[in-house]
Amino acid sequence: MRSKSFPVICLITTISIVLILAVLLNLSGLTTYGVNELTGLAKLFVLNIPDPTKPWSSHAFEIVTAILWDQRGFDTYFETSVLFLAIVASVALLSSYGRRHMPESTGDEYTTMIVKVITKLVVPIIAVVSASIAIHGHLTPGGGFQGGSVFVVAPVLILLAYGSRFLSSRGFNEVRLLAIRALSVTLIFVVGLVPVLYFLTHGTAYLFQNTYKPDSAFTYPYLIPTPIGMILTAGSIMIYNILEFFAVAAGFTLAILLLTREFERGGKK
Amino acid sequence: MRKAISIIIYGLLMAIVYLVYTGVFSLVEILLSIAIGLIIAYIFAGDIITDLSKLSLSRIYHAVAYLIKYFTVIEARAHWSVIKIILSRNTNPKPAIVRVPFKADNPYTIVFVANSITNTPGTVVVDMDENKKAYYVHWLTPISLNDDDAYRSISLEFEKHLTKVFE
Repeated sequence: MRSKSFPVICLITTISIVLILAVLLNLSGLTTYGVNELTGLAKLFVLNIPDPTKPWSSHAFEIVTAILWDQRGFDTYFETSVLFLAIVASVALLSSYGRRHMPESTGDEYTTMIVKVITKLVVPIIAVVSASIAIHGHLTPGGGFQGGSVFVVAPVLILLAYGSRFLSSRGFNEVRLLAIRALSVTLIFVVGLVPVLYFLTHGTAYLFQNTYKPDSAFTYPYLIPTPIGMILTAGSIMIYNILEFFAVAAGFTLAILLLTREFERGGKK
Repeated sequence: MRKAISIIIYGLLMAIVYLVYTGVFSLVEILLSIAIGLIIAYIFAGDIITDLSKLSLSRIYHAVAYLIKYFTVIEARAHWSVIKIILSRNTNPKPAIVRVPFKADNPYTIVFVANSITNTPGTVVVDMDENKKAYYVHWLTPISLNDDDAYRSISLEFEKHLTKVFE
């Protein structure tokens, strides 16, 4: 039973919650921020990473990506490996049984022509945008994982509109996707291992090192002069971003492809 | 040969999308955009460009003319008719779902007519039947429940213009 005073009580509650939140936000200092009020660690990152004159610089404008691949690159590598293991586990679970007499769907039974044509037009645009996000990961917000995740929207749309057979017929089969995934993760580790080779032959260098450090001369080329202009690659960050893009895109596409096949079979053996 | 041309045309279109999204127009970026556009086009152009010989300037002209007319005259007219219903005191305009036949064969024509109908206020395509060649349209202010009358007042104008673009 709703009484007549119900709207009034709602209104009073809403207003008091808003007021309390406003007071709390103001008192805790969350509403104002500036470079001068950064805490120690944040100040270290903000002032050092984008500034090429500083000895600890990563030569990248996007600080989050730089921290992910340079300052804590080894950690990020293992995060990628964890995702890789999750994909391997889902492949082991989903593709092991009953693959032979599986009729793969063409999607005809659950979508109309409108969905199919619009999907066809939107999918390449998603792919192009995801490539841009991944390639400019060291310059603008984004990066390999983000670009790869955006890319995966395209296979999801295709699987929903056309069914799994379409993806397979375009060369996105599970063997190839798993190979791309494994190759990319391996190459990320190889790029991280190159400084170790330098350490063994020349002098001090660190695992997953990006650019030169005060006590180490090893550096990936971070500003490449070409006849058509300077290319800022931020050392290995751009390589990592592109490899991670392929790793994430292939891995998630594979997982979703296998799940969709399972869904299309409808639980039949 | 024909496939190569369609890949190049579609690749350049995708390069423009890439550049507009990125917002940087340096030479390096333009070369990169063309490379990525061509890769994407290599995968998808065969599905999207179905008949390259239909490409012509007059079709592009018709497409642009239709877009301008659609987003100014047709949209304004449809909005005005819905505004009148909202502001009137009639709380039950008696909406109906009508069958609207279509004569087009090309999937692009069929889909863009359907989207034109949906995008104008007052009419929404809720389903379609490709074999019977008919849309099922939810119509806020039905004038008539007859198929031909519905066709004439809902989709004739869209289909007339879009046939010149895609068929």
